[in-house]
Amino acid sequence: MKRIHIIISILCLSVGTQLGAQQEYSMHFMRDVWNSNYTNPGFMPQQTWFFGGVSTGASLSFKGLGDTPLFIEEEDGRFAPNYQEIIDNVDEEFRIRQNITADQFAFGFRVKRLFFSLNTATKVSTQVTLPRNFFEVGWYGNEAFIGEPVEFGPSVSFDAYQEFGLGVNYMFPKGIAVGARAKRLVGIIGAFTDRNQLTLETGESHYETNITTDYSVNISSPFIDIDAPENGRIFDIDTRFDSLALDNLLGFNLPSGNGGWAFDFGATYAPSPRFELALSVLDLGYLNYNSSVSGLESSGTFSFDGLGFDEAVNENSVSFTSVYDSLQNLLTVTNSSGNSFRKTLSPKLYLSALTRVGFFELGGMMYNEFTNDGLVASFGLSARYVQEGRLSFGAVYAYHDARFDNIGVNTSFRLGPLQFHFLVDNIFPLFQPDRFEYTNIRVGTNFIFGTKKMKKIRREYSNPPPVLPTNPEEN
Amino acid sequence: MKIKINLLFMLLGLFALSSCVPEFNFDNEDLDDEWKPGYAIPLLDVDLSLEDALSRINTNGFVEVDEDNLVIAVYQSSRFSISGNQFIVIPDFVLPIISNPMTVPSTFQSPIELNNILLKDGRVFFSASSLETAAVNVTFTIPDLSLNGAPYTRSYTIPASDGSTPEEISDTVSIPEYELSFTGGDFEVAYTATLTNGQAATINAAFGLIDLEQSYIDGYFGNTVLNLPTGETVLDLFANWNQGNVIFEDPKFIFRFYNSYGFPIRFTVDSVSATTNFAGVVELQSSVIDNGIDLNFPAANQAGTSSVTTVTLDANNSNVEDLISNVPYGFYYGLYGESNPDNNTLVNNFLTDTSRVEAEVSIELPMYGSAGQFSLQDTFDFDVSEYSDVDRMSFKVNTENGFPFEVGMQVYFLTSDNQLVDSLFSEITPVLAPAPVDGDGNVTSIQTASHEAAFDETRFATLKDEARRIVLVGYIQTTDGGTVPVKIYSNYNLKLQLGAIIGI
Repeated sequence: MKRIHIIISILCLSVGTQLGAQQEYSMHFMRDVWNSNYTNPGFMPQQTWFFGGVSTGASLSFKGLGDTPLFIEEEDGRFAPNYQEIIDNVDEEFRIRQNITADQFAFGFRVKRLFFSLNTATKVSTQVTLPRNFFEVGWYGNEAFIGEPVEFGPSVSFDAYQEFGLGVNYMFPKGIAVGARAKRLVGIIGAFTDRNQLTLETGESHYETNITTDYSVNISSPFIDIDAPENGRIFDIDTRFDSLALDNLLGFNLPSGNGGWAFDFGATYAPSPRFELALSVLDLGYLNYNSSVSGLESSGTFSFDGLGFDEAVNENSVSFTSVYDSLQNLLTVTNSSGNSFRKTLSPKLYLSALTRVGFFELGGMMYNEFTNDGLVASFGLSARYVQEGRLSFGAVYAYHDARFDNIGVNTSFRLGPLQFHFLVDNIFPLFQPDRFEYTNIRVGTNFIFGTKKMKKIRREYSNPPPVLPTNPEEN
Repeated sequence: MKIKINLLFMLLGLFALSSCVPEFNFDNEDLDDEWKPGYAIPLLDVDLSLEDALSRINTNGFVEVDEDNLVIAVYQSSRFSISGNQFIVIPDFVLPIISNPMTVPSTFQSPIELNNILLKDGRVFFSASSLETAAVNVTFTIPDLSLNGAPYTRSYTIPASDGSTPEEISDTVSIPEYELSFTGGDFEVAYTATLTNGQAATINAAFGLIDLEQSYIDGYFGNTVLNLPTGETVLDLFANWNQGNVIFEDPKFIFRFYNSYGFPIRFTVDSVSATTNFAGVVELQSSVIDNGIDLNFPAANQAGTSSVTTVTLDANNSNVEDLISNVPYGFYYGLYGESNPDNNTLVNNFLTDTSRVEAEVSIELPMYGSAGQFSLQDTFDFDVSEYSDVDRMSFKVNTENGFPFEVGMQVYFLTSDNQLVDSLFSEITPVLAPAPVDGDGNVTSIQTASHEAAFDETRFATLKDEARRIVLVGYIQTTDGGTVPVKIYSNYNLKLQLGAIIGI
């Protein structure tokens, strides 16, 4: 099972120059599901102990399309990529982010006011940032940019790492709970572009081509060796796949040398069982990549003005077939020093409030993620029907990355001690792909025990015994 | 009960979810209609002097440069020749030896006289018979046939006869590298025949010298006609001429003879004619060739080498300038030669088996002249239907011309049955602007030009569908409309930049 999770996580190449993580709206409000504790370790657990089963989630978000639909509905009801409008309306930068989290195992138990938890998860995060010119050069060709320099260098960041977490939660009286989680990170693959200048200039004279590069990719991978060729040709880059190293990885022999730490902190305040405030700061940490580090770079100005006489003329015939080869091999790449590198995690901040009215829970949250590309700010509203210990379902509305059209649904229910949870943070893409900009899907299971007892314990902490009125007679 | 409700809830949820999952179309059927990128590509960036170009191209001697760097176009015929063993053939000698010794006359008619022959191949045949009842020892010799100074001698023994039936012997010996002398017009053979007891014996003998081939021969070879095969020179430059005139200031017509025969030869020009575009067949006329051309020949101590004889016909001694101005595209030559034309028997003649006389005719056109709308035209097969991905195409050409001529071109696209489909330009277009010249015809500055030609989607689609042949029409016109002579030097250069936009 672990193998499958690792393979899925690594092969799903997806989409922060920092280490990103899934952004959770629904899960934050699904207090009946243990995994919500990953969004705030200060959440008081709702069971005395649990075994966390497999829970897998993936999020995908696009930023930079404005109101342009990603897909367009055809006459036959099918959805096709909306190429032309995307090209015409894409922002200066288009960002794709994808995160995959595969929670493989978790265990938690209560010891008086303390609740300890252990967890492990494989996380894969990818962020690709494409300049608008990247799309336009690809769509219109360089004909549209004759006489003007065009920058089109994409930036890429990819990480796959294993997380081992130790969490502790302490319930103070009067409804206050605090929690922290220390996370040991082991990097599996890391790659990022630390320089991403690619400038194409097509001359007006006879379309002479200049490419100026200052591009560098750093890679740490135990099973992929990448070497720049001696001739520097980009298409001759030597990529060797070390199947033995992959077998080791699939055997859960994680690479040594790629280590890091991260910490989550959270607190909740529930002045009454009906109202709760929560604040958490997550992913304060880093991951160092020291193992199997290599790097490729291209730096300089590369020009092709056309074939020279000797290249075009062979005996008494003229041929332009080598033009393609010349253009294809215009750039040269070299091995960079391959120094180890550090990637910091993108810190995240959740601030939320939750009120309970009967079986209903209404909540609101603010989410901030501090990425290298700037602040990603979101707001979310949640309404849920919760039959504690049995089932819950609800909906969330989110303002996400400058988009207002995000509505999600979520549910959890139990079959005995086995609890299922399923959520989609933006349901529109599932049936209206033209509105696809962001979604987050998670599904998983947990074995939970002692919810009734924990409910009682929480009430006791949230509702201390009332102070009895003073007997006047005693005075 | 609680579990059943939750299971139902889960199934309903899955059903509802699966029913609203949309279908996608990633077949990109419409992508071809939407995605129409254009790629601007530099094709050529050539900055080249004529000298550089000539050093890179195998011109087969077509272009030469004189000491002033003036370019000369040279049209040269293939060499046509006769060789040594076609000229002198030594006959076989097969005779009975009726006297001993016996003098054998050579069979060449006077005044032909062959003195020394170095044989490359040949055989000596000798046979003898005897009725002697004792064995006979026979020694046969040819004193005029020797190897390293030693006369040819062979000994044989004829077995004893029964007195009524003769005993015979015969032998054939290969004699390469032997020297045979016909000095005095004859050679001698002899034999001795003795019995084993030393007494003279009587025999009947015959000999032969057969299949003789010489590697060297000297003497006097007489007066013989040497017929050369007909020669031809094609002027590719003018073969595709369409219209316009061209004037070369100093054209030359050059006969070159390479002679390794060691005797006087006189060549007579039977006919030299040119097929021209303007005046049909024109005869080359010159007093220089009227009386024949006496070839230089090597001395006896130069055997194996060639002597070169060059006869140059130019504007001063022939009508070659007029002939060239008629735009000739083919020259035809008929020549014959005569050995020892003056019958001077005092001149020692020689030849070797590699001796030959070769004739070569060159037409040299120094690039000093003028051309007015000198047009060329050629037709080629053409098919771009295989470029189905290409929707449109355009070209841009920039030139910096250091040559004193303008080059114009037009390309007509035709169907397979020669119906006009389209043309590259709306009219024939000068793609190279002529550099200006001074009074001596020398270029004073370079001239720049830029041209574009575009085939939009409609035009290119038509080309793909219909065009199967192209007619390329080009013209060259020297500076000032071809009115003043210009010179073309090998250090003139041309900068050519060609780019294309390919829309797919």
